[in-house]
Amino acid sequence: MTNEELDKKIEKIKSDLKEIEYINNKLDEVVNVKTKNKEEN
Amino acid sequence: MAIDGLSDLVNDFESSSEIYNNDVEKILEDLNNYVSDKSVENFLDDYIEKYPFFNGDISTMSVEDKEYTARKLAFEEHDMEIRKEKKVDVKDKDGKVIGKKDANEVEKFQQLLKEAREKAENKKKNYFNNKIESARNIQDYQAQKIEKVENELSEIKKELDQRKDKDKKLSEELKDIIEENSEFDKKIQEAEKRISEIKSKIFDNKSKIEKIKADDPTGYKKNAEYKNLMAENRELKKESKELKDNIDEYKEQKENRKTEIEKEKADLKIEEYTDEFTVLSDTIREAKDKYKENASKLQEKFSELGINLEEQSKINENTPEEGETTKDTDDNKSNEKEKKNEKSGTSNGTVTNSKLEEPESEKALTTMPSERQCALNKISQYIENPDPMERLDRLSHTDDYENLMSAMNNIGIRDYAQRKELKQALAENTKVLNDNMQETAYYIAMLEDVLGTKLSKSQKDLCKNMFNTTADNKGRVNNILSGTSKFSKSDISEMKNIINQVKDANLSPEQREDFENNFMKYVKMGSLNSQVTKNFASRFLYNKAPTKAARAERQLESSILAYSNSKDKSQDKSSFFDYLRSGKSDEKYASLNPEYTSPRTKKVEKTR
Repeated sequence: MTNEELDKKIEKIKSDLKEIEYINNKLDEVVNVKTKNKEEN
Repeated sequence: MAIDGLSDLVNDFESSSEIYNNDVEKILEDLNNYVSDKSVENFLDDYIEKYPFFNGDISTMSVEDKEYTARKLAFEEHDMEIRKEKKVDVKDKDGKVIGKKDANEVEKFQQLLKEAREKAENKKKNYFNNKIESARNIQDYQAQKIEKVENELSEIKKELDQRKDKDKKLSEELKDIIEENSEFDKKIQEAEKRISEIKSKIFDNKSKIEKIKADDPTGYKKNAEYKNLMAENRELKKESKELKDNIDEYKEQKENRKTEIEKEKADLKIEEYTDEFTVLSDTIREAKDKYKENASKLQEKFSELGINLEEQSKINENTPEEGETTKDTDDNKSNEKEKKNEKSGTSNGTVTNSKLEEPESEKALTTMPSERQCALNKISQYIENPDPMERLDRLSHTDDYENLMSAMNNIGIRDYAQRKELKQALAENTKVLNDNMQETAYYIAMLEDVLGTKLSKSQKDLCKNMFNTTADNKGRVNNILSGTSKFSKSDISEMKNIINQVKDANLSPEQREDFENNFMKYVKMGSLNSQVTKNFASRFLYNKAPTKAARAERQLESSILAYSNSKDKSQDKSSFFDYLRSGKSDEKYASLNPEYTSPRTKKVEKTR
């Protein structure tokens, strides 16, 4: 594998990781919302 | 974009990532909103399903308005059910019950209510199905993405290993070259030494030549020694030049080979790529941990909401066809689910991935131990208790049915007979509870509000009995409640009487609401034991003597006002009762509070 190919691969991984982080953050928001029922209880 | 379209969007993601991202955001926002508004929204949705004539527009209401409306409607619904019950008994001339008046109407109403409830419940479950499907799709997509990144990182790791091998070989080669270079250095030294000797020899020869020239300035050219010396010097110069050329060549060769290898080593960029790889590996590890944590929390959240993912999927997909038995359906569902799990690696709605999760046997022991243990304890308590009333009491609210079903599925009770028995028992108990709870929940809430403290489970149980059973139980309630509150036994007894009277009275919803608000206010102020409160209550309970009740109400208000102005607020309730019993006049209250206007004064002003 050439350096150019390797760099390209790493850039793609970085982009994928950004997306994974984005979805993780969104899921994080969902799971950290308290339900009213629970709060009331 | 519709939530149903998410699966397609996931597949088309490579070409429409922006749209997908927007959709994910919307879905999660919907989910957030739904989760946070669940109780009130659900109630209102259900209510509208049951009573289509409700003409409020909940979409424009504030959260507070929704809560208020839900509470008010719950009260009205409760009232409506009481009225229905009152119509039921029909007696003959001897007082014997011969049937039920408006029985058809009642049955029809109940049937409609049942259907509406089922419909509302299905609607709620379908709604959750969509939400769960969305969450699953997001998690599936995330799992695939993580796996893909991990695979790519593995390839990079392989490449890095290969480069490290190559670097090792180049280092060895470089070592050899350095050794070879020392040989070059040796040759160069020898050549330089020889050049130095040649220079010295040439110099000596030149001295000899100069001497021959001096001795015979005209005939030295024919001197044989002169000729030899000149020839020798020419040879020496030639040799010196060759040696210098060799040295340059040695030096060039030495540098070229070393530089070449060093460049090749640098091009491998091992340190740079290793650092990059370490950062990426750490990031994906953290992302994976976060993913697993979120998957677990999401499962927990759906369980909290009383939603079982396994159960949900059955509602839409596996409604039994005509002639198909429930057992067949359950067995089919079980098989289908097992197949699905084998194929997709999912279990209980939590996305699992062979690369991401532990083996199933380990998972069973390690996944969400508290929830699992809690579910097991609950089910064991239920199964082991032989007393049906005790069983009933364990299900303190209707949500427990769904929670228990959810727990049962989560821990994997797959035996059909066991599931069926539990389901039937729970459904029966829940039905009984529903009938009683709707009525008693209101009074329990009222008591808690009045007492300013939450009731324990045993106290709540006694309250249930108080409103549904014997005088003995009512006595027990008094004893317990008086032990935990600042009110005396007689206060509690009075309160109980008034509440029971409200329960039996034929009041309009407005009257009930008015009573509720004012009664609580006065009780909180500590005036429960006074005659004026009784009078006030009687106005609402019997619609009698409104003038007397209104006067009583004003007296009570002015008493409270005067008391709070004239006494230290730390004084206890008994002194307030003493104050009331002392029979102070309106004028006296007025002197304590300049803003107070007695009814008599008002009347005089009106006449003028």
